Amino acid sequence: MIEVVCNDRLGKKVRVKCNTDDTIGDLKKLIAAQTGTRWNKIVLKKYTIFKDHVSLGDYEIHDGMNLELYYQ
Amino acid sequence: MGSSKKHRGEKEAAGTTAAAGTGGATEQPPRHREHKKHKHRSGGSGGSGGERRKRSRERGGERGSGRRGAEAEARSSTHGRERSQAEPSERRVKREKRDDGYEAAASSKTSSGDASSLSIEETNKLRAKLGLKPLEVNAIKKEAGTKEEPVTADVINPMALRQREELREKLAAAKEKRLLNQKLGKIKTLGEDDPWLDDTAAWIERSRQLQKEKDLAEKRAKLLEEMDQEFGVSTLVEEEFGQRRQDLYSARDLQGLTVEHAIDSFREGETMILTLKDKGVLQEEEDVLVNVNLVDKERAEKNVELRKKKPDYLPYAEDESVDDLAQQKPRSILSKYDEELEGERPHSFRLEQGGTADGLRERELEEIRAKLRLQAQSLSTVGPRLASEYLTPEEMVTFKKTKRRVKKIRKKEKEVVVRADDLLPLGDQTQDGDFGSRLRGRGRRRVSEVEEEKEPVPQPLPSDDTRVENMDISDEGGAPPPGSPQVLEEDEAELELQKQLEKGRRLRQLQQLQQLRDSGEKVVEIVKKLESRQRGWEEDEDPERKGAIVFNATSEFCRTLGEIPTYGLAGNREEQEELMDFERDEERSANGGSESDGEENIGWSTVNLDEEKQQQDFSASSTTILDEEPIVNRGLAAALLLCQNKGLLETTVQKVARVKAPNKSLPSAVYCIEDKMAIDDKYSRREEYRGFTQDFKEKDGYKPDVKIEYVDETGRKLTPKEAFRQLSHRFHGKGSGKMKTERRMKKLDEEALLKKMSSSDTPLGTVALLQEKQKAQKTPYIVLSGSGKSMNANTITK
Repeated sequence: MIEVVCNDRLGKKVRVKCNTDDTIGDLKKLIAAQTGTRWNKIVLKKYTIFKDHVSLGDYEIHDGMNLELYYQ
Repeated sequence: MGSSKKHRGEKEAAGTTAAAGTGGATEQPPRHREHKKHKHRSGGSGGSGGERRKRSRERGGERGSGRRGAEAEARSSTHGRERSQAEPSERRVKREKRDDGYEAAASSKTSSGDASSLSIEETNKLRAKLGLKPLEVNAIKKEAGTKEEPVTADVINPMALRQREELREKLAAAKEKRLLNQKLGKIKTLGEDDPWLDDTAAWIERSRQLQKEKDLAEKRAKLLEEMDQEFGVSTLVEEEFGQRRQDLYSARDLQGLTVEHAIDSFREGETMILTLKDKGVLQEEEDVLVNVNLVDKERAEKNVELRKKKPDYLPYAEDESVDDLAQQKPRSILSKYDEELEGERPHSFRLEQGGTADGLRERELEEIRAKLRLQAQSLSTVGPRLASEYLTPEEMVTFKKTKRRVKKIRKKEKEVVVRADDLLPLGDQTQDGDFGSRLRGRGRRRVSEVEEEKEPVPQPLPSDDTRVENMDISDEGGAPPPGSPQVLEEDEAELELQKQLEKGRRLRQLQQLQQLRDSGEKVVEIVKKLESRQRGWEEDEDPERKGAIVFNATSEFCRTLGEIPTYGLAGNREEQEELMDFERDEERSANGGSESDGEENIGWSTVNLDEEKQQQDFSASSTTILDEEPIVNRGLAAALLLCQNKGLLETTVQKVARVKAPNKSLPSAVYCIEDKMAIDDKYSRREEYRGFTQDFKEKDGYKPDVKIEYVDETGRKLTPKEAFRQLSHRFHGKGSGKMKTERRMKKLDEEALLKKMSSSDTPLGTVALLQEKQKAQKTPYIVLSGSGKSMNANTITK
């Protein structure tokens, strides 16, 4: 289980607990549940935009990593 | 985060205890500051904070209670000390209460580092709702991951890793080898041979063995059959075999297969073996039968065709636009590449029932196509032919010979003599203005029919309207023109022409007559006109007498024109002449001797004065003769008149109002004709000086001492030579060359050195050195001894 921090630099900072084998889509859903937006409106970035179908492990997202939270 | 939390708690506790010591004031500011901070934070994450605050309150509650104890102490102590500060204490209480809540909330927030987070249970609940599997809580990993508590990682032994890798590789290789050997072991090498291949005896033995085995097998089969028969299983067995036979592949299974050749390539009575066409392993398309030889043949034919180099694009191929089935073939662009792009599409046909194909359908289709082709109409029309210059016999038939009309000779006598009365109704239709002849002038008089009837109208010009002319002629009495009936024409057009000519002639004759007749009348008319005009003129004068000057644009223009020396000499100014005479008469009658420039000018102004005089005279005559003393208080005019009468004024008429038509143009000091075009050319403008051209009178005695100094870039003053050099460099845009500049630089440096040099001393500063040495030794002399070293400037010491 890892905890990922998502920050949109506008006041929303969210720590989400998830598994390494979760996909980005699942992570987005968790974030949406906590922030109150819709999960399909969320865009996660860390130098590159993360695609929904790839797992966190494949993106090498480890515990405590800061991801950028954007909206579309 | 936890540590910071603890830290904060400690700080707060310390703060409160410190506050207990120092006083409430110090307690308030940190509290106040914290309070503000909390407020800001809670505002930021208010939405999600609500839920958390509940939780945090219970968490913070226990901590807060602990702290509250300390706070209570502090409060009580402060209360005890500063009872006078009742209000601040109240405020403090209130703030404390609020602070508690905020602190509680803040504590939870700080624990999360200003980010909202759910606990594991909550997260699992959420995940269950979303349909994700619950979090796999891996305690070890969590411990290893946090930033605040880094755990030492396992020591990575590279040697051990390498060894492990090598082992693995070896094992893998060994396994592969084993498998290979197994596979290859089955194959006989060349060295190994069956013994019976070379040796006949061995072979014989082998064959015998084989035979024996066969016999044995047969026997066994027979036995089995007998056994089956005994058991009544034979029928079943036979059925099975029968099924097998049925399942065998036969001709009927060929139904529906495609053969990839044209059906025409199969001839009757020929046997051709068809095989399945090669296709990829993973291709799922249906099977296609081909004959190998045919395929080769077709390919060869195609190559031959390609090698022939036929033109692949026929731009004017019109006969290929229609398909076989009389349908428009779609004309595609660059159709020669279709095969390359889309792939070959060879002829093929399907096998029908029982694996046969007779090509009946194709033959039928061909017949239909041929039929349709015959029926089809071609849109191409017959091409253009050269037109022949001679008529063909067929065309000759179409010609009809036109008969010439036999003219009736006695046509004219039957014509009715047209009278004016008959033409009255005609006149109504036609009389309406000009038909466009310019010669008639602008204001053509309208002539009524009635007049025409009575008398020949004095039409000054012949009208273009034939009907009008007709009318004229008919008015004359309807007598046909003398010449016309005798002239016989064949064509009607010629008749008409003759008629017209006659009419013209008659009209001209009429005109002459009319002119002669009218001349007398005309004179009478003119006289009448004159009289009327005179009367009109007198009438016109009345308003003028009253003093109103009537201006007329034309009159003003004429006035400014000036004198026309040839005025009235041509003799066409009859009206004016009359006027002039008339005026002259008047003047003479009225003035009797005043010099009149009436001949000179047009004479409106003179009339004025004359009118006045006339008026005066009239008035004089009307009243008593001895009108000596008119009443002066009537006005200035009356006084003036009196004076005039008495002769106090100059009687010479001062033509004040008169504007002498000047020979030259009107003088005006105010205006001038500005010829602006002269300024425009560039060169004249250059010479133009728009400034002040006169000397300053007040600066007459000013004699300045002019001294112009030139400096170079370093600030040195330049000699005239150098200054000029500088100017010329500037002017030409280029300076000196390399040598020159170097020399100049050298010169400047030398000058600088020269300046630096002292006048009283040698360049090396020997005198100064000497003096210094003397000072040092405190003697008025210097001992010149020893090596040169001791006398150097460097060795001089204090």
